[in-house]
Amino acid sequence: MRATLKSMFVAIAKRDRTGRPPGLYRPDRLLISDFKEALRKPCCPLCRLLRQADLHYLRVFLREGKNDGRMLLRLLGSWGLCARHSSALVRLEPVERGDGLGTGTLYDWLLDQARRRLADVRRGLDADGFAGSSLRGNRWNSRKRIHKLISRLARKTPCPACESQRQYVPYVTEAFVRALEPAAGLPQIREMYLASDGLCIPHWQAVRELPASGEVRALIAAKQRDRLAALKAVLDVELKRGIAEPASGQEESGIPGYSRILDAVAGDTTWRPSEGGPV
Amino acid sequence: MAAFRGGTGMIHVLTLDRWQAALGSGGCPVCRLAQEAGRDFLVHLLREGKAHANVYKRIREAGGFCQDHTRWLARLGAERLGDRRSLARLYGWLLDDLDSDFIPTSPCPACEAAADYERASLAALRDLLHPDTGDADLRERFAAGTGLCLNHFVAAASVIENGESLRMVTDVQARAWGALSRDLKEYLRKHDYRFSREPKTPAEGSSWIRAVATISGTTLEQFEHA
Repeated sequence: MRATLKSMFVAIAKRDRTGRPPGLYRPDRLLISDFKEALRKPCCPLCRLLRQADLHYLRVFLREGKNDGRMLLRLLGSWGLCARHSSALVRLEPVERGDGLGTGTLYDWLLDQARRRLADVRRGLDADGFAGSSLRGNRWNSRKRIHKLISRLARKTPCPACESQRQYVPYVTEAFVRALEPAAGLPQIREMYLASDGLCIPHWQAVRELPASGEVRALIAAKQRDRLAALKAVLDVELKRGIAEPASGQEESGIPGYSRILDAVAGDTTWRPSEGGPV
Repeated sequence: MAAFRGGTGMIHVLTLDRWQAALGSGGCPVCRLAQEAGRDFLVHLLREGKAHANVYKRIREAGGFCQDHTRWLARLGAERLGDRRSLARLYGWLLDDLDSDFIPTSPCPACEAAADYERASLAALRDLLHPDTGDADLRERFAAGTGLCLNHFVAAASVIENGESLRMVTDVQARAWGALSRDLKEYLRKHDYRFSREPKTPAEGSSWIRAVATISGTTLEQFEHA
């Protein structure tokens, strides 16, 4: 039975390799569904998907991810999450769990580890007097030893949430380009992309680096040119308003075209409560 | 403006003032100084910096600002200047330059400004804490403060050469982390159903957020604007 299954998979893989141009196969169905959802909404669809992935990662992290032994080791190497993701975690924790208990327990453990290593540094300083020795050789050895102890408090590995996003970005961007290819058989995605706000500039740059047919390249270039022209038109309106006119609070909170310009230039891939989700 | 001799160079009174203000505001003072430097860069840019070709060239080479500083920029543009036109003009220029072949060649200028100021702040701390040539008042304030975040403690300990200063920084850090750990452990203990009726002090209530800020290296204010 195992041999039959194996030969079946090999046959399918060979058929895939020989039947279609390389790299132009249909991306996974769940992602296509996510693309459709994101393309219906304003702003860059890839930014939206990455923000959702960020939120998903933090939710799983809060519920169970942080209790896994291997994850704890990783978190010790990275000293928890980076500043950006820990900010998001602090905002998400009360919504998901309500009390800060999960995050508090994790960071209590990390703080204990940091205190233990700091105690080693202090013991090292006590042992030989960092600047006290008159013998240069000993002092240099002592200094090296102290710096080695201090370096145990430094981050050795990147934030696991950043790492997860770094790995997910090429998967999503490649799938997006594939979904636009005529060979993928997804004309709806093409139509929705043409009707959407288009990609932000960082994602446009990322997509341009990927292999794609001439047709898709032309489609993306035309759409993004239109997008840039639309953004410039919004800016022209802003410039004509007059220099002394204050910003209205309503516009600021309603995320008008103006805020979209900033997001379109910088990209916006980190989840934050105002974006939606559980808050 | 007066200046005094530090361990390795001159410390400007303005730097001393900024350090004193940062020590009085709670949380890691270096995080605060770096955050303010990034924000000041944006404010000065909106007020006048964009008129300078070099500043604009740096922004253009970076393809604008990073996501975090773009958010700050949007907020500052409306709140501190009451003028959205400067920002509109700046981004208008940027969009004019962004053709299909544009590739950013440098990092976010505001991040660079913050990182430069962070390095300068740590060097200033090294000089200010020097037992012979430093500032006695600031040493006292630092000793009574809440210490540095993990990142900045490591960075400060790496640049401090004087043994007594290093001893002082590690002592302050041990005391600050000890107090934070006590608050956090009490907070966690009072989550147990047997002790949940015991009231939590404000320090215990905020301890889990302060622990995250200390380990991840950020200011509490940044959590509010995440």
